[in-house]
Amino acid sequence: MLEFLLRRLATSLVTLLLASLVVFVVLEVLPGDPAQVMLGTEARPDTLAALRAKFGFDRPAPERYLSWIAGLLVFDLGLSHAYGTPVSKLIGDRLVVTLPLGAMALTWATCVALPLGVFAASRRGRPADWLVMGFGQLGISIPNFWFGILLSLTFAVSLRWFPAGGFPGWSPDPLKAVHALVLPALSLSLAEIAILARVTRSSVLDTLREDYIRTARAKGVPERAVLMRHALRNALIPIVTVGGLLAGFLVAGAIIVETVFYLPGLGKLVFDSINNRDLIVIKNIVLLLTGCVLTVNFLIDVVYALLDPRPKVSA
Amino acid sequence: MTIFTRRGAIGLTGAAGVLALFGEGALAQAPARAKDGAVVIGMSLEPPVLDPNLNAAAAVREITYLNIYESLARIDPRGGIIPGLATGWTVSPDGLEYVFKLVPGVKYHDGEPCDSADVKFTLDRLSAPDATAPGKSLYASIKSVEVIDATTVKVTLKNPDSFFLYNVALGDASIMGRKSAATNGTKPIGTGPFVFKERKEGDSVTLAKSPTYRHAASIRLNTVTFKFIRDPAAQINALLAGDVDTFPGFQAPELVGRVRADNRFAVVIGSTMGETILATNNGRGPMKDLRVRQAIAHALNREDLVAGESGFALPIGSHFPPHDADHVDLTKTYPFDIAKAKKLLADAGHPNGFEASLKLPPVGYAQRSGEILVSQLGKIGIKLTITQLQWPQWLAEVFKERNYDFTIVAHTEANDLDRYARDGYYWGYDSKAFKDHWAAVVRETDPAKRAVLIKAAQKMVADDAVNGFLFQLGKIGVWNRQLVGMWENSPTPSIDLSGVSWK
Amino acid sequence: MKAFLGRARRHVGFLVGATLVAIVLATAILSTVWTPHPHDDLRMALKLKPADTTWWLGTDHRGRDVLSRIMVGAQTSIVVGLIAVSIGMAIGVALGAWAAARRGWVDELLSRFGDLVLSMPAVLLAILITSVFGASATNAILAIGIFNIPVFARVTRGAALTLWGRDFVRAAAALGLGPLTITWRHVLPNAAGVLLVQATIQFAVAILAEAGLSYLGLGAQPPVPSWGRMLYDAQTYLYDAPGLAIWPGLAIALTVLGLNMLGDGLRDLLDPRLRPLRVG
Repeated sequence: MLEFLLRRLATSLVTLLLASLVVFVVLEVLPGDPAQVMLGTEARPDTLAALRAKFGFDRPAPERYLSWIAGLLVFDLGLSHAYGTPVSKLIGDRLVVTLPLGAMALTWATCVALPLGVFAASRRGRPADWLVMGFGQLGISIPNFWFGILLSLTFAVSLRWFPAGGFPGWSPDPLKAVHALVLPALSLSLAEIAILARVTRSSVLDTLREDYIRTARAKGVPERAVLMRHALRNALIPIVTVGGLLAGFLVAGAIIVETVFYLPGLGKLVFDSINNRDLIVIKNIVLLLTGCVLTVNFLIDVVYALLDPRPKVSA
Repeated sequence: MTIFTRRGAIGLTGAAGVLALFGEGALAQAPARAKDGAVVIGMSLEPPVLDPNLNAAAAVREITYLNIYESLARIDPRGGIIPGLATGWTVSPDGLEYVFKLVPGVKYHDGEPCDSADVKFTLDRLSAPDATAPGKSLYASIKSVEVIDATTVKVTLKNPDSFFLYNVALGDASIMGRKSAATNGTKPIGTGPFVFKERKEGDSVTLAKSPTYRHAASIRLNTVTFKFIRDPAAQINALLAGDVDTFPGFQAPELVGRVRADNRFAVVIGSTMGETILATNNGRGPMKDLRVRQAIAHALNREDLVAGESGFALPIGSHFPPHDADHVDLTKTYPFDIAKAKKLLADAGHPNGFEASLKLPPVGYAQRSGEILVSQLGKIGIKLTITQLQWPQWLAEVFKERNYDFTIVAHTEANDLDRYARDGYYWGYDSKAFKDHWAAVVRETDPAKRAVLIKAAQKMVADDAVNGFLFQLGKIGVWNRQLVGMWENSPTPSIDLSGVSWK
Repeated sequence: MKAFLGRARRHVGFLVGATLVAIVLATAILSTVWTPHPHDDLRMALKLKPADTTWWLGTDHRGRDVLSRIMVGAQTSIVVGLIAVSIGMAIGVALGAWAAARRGWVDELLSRFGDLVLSMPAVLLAILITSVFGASATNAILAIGIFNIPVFARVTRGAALTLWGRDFVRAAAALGLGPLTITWRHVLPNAAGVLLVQATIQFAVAILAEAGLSYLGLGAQPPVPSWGRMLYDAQTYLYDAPGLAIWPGLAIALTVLGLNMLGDGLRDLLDPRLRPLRVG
């Protein structure tokens, strides 16, 4: 058991290390000179060289890679070239938008998808089931950014219930901030609802076939209680698994939706940093997001391992 | 001064037009923050470090110049040069020595005195051999800077430079304190009317009125927030929602009608220094041939290009701003004539046209004009393929490596006709005649004689059809009708707030 | 085959999906020879016209016919999606089959590679790839194709591993046939069904991804019409011409819906126990 966990942890770390190497190499070949971006078209070659030396771009690539990793080990993400401020502050400022957005989307998705999935399972093969499954197909087929545009067209441009974009900040009025995140969270949650509802339905159906459900029914437990208390509870593991996977990808998925609603989240920081060739910011964000996904995957495996003590090879 | 009307542009004096606009403001309302002397200013681009000595971005100057920092002289709203930190200056008859007299008793926001040693420090920071200033070439004529006494500074030049005074008046030459300069990128400290308060990267920069400014009584605003909103659709949302009081440079001509429909806002169209050109690689392929470039010039339909800017632009025929006193109208050098263009192209050996790349930077005017030009040049058989580049890619691929056929870019610096005299500039234009001519312009210190030379220079560039000369960008200023004192024109990148107030 | 068609005729989802996909394909092919108006004719005087009998879906901000652009946009989506999936499939299937045949360190290494690609933020890497090589349809294909490799590799590996355990494959191995021959003759033909299902679903995912990238300006370059870019342009005119924001999105949604339904239908018809991988 412990050996499995250690092994699993080791492979996660190796994957993370490989990811850092990939990002580093991609950024090495990224065309565009950060010094020229700062100094513009009138800068002379000697001026550019001096600035590059100041940033340390003239040092050999392996040395720069190692000093980046060494910094990460002590939680030092370095200084942004464009702003001159710590990268950790930049990322932190944006997570304040992106994390609540993701959390809202996931909460909303869970609240809608679970009842929907259970409902569909209880009406298996009947019109209501077809309707829910049809919605599921539609949900994964509609691009979230288009859904966002449609929401903004309806609820912002026409009805004026919500702002069409922008973010007022959490102070002085947190309610205004939540208000600004409603439409983005809704558009982000559409696909999540569709996927979660499908998973809920099929995993509830699976458990409904189990013996103890039949026993419960035979004992005369009301159908509602069978569904909620027995079937759903036991179906939760696969649902939580998928939910976790979705959460891992949510932050990256928010990038496009943030663009639709002009939110100053992680997505905007990524675009700004690419445009400024603020390389140090980009590589840290990519690694952070990869780390999130790996952590979620690891946790899921841990949960499975705890529930099922047989040694297993990860897929 | 020029005011652009809704359709096309005609010259008329600005004051009357603006007064008329403000006259209808009876229904206009100021936002609640106006009572506290607060204003929120929308900007399209976010500045990186707030040190104009060391960073080239126009957005840095827009926020800091005349607000946080001051230079020895300053550019006034009409583009003239007036005293700044220097009360005055004298120039030696040979044009080689400038003596600046500083305003006595000026203090930085941190309480340090501003004296002539700081001026020497700043000018050295810009021009010393090891300087890493983007504007180093602007100050290349400086030979030495001497401190005479606490308020007197003498600058000696290597050669007469008729642009020197203009250059020291720019935001590039913001005078900085010896002690604070190193951290000015993140905590800017200057002598201007506003103090840096806080920055939220990716969102905003906030300034507050400086109590120690020498004319503090004349400053009416207490708090100024610059908010960065890049996307045109988001800009209009912010305006209509009242989150932003003004966009001095509104980026979406296609949405001006929507702003005008809201009577809280005035829309004032002014001039910029931005000559927008179809920059042409003169050193490559068919474009080496003058006849091909002339054919392109004949194929340009500026009326449609200006319509693409919703009318907020002025057609140009050379690389020179139409609102400048020395401007000559050269738009008829190669009038729109498809048949003639085709014939020139055939004479040059391309009867069926040719294929070429059009590499666009990520700016609205280039995107808008790009598709129009593909269509226009397509009519004479030149098949352009668009590639959209990020700025860093544009700088590397187009500007530095010259790996391009065509690009569209607005040259927004003042006095930038000198680019045509440069060796190795990205257009690949190499004309001995123009280089000699421009050297004479730089040497000439008599304004009348210089004006004649500058007019001739415009014509040389137009005749050689170096680039496709498209239009002068208009400055679309949008502000709340209750807000007065904003600059109408943009002679230099600056959002000068020293004269701005709520009615 | 006959039995398949017989069942297919009664499968509503499959029929709806197949019809939608057929319509999109037909439109794309038709648009190479005919559109109601030229799709790239700029006429500023005609900009933002509402829908009428001449301009069935109105005109865009450059005075071009929206319907014609949507029709030609179908070409862009299909070509990008098809090539991206083909690249991912060709490489992924080869890698997956190799891993299943060799097991051991090859398998381990390829699994790690799959983990690596699938755990990195796809959108972000696609943005970086197009930044490195320049924004174009070709590079969008490349960026989308890379993320298809591990998906196909996993599916192929899973199916192949099962097949390698089956008696007829063991018998072939006992006869002395090499792993390459066995994979080619016995493993891949038997995995074709699951691969077809997966390819259909990946096609849908690829079209969504292409739309997303071109919405961000990283896909096909103007004036070549692409649905994602049309949506981006439309966003500026939400107040003046809301229709512009509706039609291209509908085109994307219906195409993707068609492919998804077709994929699920194929799965039901070929082997109801299959669970295709859904990523991204």
